[in-house]
Amino acid sequence: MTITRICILGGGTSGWMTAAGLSNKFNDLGVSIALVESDNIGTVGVGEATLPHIRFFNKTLGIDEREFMRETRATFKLGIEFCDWGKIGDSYIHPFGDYGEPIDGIDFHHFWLRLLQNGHKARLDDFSYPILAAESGKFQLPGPNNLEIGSNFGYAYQFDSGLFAKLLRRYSETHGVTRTEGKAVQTIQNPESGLIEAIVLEDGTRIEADLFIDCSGFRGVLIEQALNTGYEDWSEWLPCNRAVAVQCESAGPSLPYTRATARDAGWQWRIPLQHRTGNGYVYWNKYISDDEATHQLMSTLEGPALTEPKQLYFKTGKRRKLWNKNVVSIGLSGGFLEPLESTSIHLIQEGITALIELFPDTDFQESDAREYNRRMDLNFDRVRDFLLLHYVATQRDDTEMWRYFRQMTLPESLQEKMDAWSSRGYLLRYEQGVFLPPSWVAVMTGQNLLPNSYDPRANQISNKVLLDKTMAIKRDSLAALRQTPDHGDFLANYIGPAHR
Amino acid sequence: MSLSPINKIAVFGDGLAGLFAVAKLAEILPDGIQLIFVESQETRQTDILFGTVTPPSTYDFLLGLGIQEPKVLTSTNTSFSLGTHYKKWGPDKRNWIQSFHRPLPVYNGVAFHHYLMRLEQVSPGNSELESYIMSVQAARRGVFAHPPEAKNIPLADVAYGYHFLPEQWCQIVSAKISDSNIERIKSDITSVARHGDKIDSVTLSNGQIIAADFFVNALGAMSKLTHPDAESLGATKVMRADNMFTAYEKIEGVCRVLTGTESGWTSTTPLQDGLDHLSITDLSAEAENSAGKNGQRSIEFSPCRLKKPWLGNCLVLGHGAAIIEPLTTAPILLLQRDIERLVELIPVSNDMRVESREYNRRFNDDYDHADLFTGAFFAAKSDSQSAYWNSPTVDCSNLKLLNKITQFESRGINVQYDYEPFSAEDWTMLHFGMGRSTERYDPLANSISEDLLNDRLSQMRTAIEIMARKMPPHHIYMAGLKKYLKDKHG
Ligand SMILES: Cc1cc2nc3c(=O)[nH]c(=O)nc-3n(C[C@H](O)[C@H](O)[C@H](O)COP(=O)(O)OP(=O)(O)OC[C@H]3O[C@@H](n4cnc5c(N)ncnc54)[C@H](O)[C@@H]3O)c2cc1C
Repeated sequence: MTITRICILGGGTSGWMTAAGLSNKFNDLGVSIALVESDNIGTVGVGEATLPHIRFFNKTLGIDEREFMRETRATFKLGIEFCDWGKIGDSYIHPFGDYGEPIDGIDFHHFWLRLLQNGHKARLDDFSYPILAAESGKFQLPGPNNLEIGSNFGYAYQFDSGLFAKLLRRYSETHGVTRTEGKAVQTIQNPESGLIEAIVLEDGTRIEADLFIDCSGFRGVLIEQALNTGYEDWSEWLPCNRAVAVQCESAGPSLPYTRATARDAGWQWRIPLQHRTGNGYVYWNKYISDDEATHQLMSTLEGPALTEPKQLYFKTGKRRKLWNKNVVSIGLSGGFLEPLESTSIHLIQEGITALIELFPDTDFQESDAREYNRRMDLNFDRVRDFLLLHYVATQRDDTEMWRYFRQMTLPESLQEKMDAWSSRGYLLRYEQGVFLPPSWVAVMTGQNLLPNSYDPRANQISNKVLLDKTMAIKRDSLAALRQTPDHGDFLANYIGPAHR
Repeated sequence: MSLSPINKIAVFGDGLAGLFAVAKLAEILPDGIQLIFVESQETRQTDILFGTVTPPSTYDFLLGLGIQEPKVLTSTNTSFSLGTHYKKWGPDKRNWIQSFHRPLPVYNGVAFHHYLMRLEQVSPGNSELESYIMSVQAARRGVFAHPPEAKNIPLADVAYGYHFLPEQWCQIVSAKISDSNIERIKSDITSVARHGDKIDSVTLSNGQIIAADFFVNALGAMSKLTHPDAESLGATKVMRADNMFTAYEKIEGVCRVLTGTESGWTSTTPLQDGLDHLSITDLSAEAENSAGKNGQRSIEFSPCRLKKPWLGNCLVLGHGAAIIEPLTTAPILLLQRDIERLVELIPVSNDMRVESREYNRRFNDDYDHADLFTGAFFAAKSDSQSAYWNSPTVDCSNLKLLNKITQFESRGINVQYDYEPFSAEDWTMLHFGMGRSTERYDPLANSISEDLLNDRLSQMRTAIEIMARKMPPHHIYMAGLKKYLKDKHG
């Protein structure tokens, strides 16, 4: 039988994204969607930097970009600037876009390596328009011809997650989602099948459904507290387990990128929005106390704090089964990878997409859950390796935490990637996963992991042709840059005067 | 690091694999690396196992060797291929055309076949896929025309491969190599000097000693170059391929016809000047070991593959690395991939650990994934006593394959793994061809009314039918094209 009742537990970013995504798809198909959230418990209150995929999410819902940006006080994001990762004093930008363009079908970075290994001083970043734009605080939307320099890049947003949830709530409610306020205190399971039949709220309200989506955050009220699904602990590889977050007034011009600065026992984020800046220190409590972390965070704010620092506790890893029985966990309830590359919201989106594609019937065939879990596991695994790369492609050994990473035995999947890169600039590719080869190039070169050699095919063209081609790409990038307005000006123009 | 860069690559074997490799390397190797081609005579006989049908990607692959389509059409008997028509296939005697096609349309975010599945539930038996596939309709009529650039007519969705004879392709590739100044030596191997996994040099029957940094061994299964301890998978079954050619006046048809038999299959492939007949027989399934007919070439083979085709400084390419039954385009598709993979991993120094590990990883992925596709031709309950149908050469209980079939049968979804050689369209056609029906379909396929859906589908069918009627028969198209090419280029 088809599912007619869905209950989403939780009204954070994941809850409302799920509600919006499902109501958009199922509104006309006789499916009722109920969302339960507790104002008392509240949301995690962070999660403001995104990946370009979010634009497809908004587009599918038919959300107008300008309205969205006005309402969530969003800024544009061209990438992430990483400071002090390769070694103290270094910085690089991981952009959403390629470097240069392939020559005779061979990735551009091989030609760059050829220049470098022959003594030319060439900066890979100079062949990336989004990096150049970010560095000079500029932004414009990519044009329609995505082969043109100045148009062949992606962008994302930095936004107020609370306001985003609010917008999605309005969307969901106009698409038939009913919202109930209250705390779930009990779950009713079918004694035979173990499927969850209902949740009961503090005031006795009983909400029945065929399918439950657990968006209750770290607690995992349904997936863990009720179903005891189990958690795969990845702290061995990603040991940071706490964060302290605070908002402050912005100083200086509005920047089109997020910053992640490596610290003694973790790293610190800076996410600029229209009206304020979000900050946080993600750390490993083994090597720094909460007080000290808070102190370090507060003493590096660019402007006066606007909120009290908020403490967060977590364990990196993922649920053993993100989909178990009739519960699908989306968001923090499904797993957590530290926000170094702004992947959580993306993983929420992947979860929603996969759920829609594999939408079950009331008999909950094992094959649906199995395929869902296979896909999501792959997503999580691949993000994990990419995050870990940041900690291990480094010369840093100045504190206990950095020494811990230097001694680590890497997952084989990551070690292979790094070996292939180091020996010849070769990238192990995969089709399914968030981070494409340019991202790997960005982090590995940005953190001084430079190959000993490069693809011999890159020697086919003459020196002169090579220099001409690379000069041309650089020239075109700079020309495009000159046409690009300041991010703040562009944004103000784009969304209208309400901003700031 | 003081690793010396490599200076010299030696390729052994003058079958299709060796020739492809040399031609490709000649196109892309930089000046600093010398290429030697040792043409040993022992290899071409197994080339019939590459089959006679190539996938659409072969057009680009040949371009990458510097060989253009007009050249292929005018100097060999190559013809166009829209796919394979499988007949009497499997225990249910299935009959369908597995054609080459660009992606089917997606309406409202829902893959096309879900709409057919919706109609199937309303009126069972009424939802065949073939009427909506331009290349199938063209194949049914034996007509062909090049797909145009313009996107909005049905013909643009057609993709095509070639019908070819490996021996003729060997000739054009060999001629192409002659244009570049590569050192060619015609001689056989007498002995190989190696220590551990590494080959130091190879002594030839003409007395010459070939020392190289990197060896490509395309000498086929029995080669002296293959490491004596190389482990292989499979090789449990013995099969025979019988091959014969019959001439005709004009090209008959535009797809290979492949018919299941009690102990294997038999196929005919329409080339420009005649039909190539190829039969595959599982010898353990044969009641009596019937000998090949007069005029037939026959070889025996065991489907198998090396676990690590690249060991030390020697890469095994072609049938020495893997032999698969040419039931689909897989043999040639995978050979192309092998060569592309090699080219991406030309060693940069004498330490080839990274290259070999990566080559072997991708090799195994590709062959595993191709096996899934082949496996899907067999994964049907069979009450036949024949070993061919009961214990196919590929593993049908593979979890990845079961996952694909279960997902399709339960909800019409094509599960995809990384870089599969066969596309979602290939899989959809195969599932429909094998008669796999689906329990459910995407509920979003219900979002348009049945009338509207029927209207749309009938428009699509009509447009395809009209197009197919306008297209010329394969032989007429080919004659016209060749005349044009001749007038243009002489
Ligand atoms: C330090 C940190 C930084 C981050 N930065 C980023 C970033 O930059 N980019 C990014 O993409 N992601 C980031 N994330 C992740 C991101 O914040 C989350 O993925 C996102 O907010 C989704 O959270 P959620 O909705 O799953 O959980 P929550 O926000 O915790 O929401 C849980 C909801 O469940 C409700 N609830 C819980 N229990 C009950 C109950 N018993 N009854 C009723 N209701 C209940 C709560 O009231 C709440 O509405 C970050 C996370 C952390 C910890």
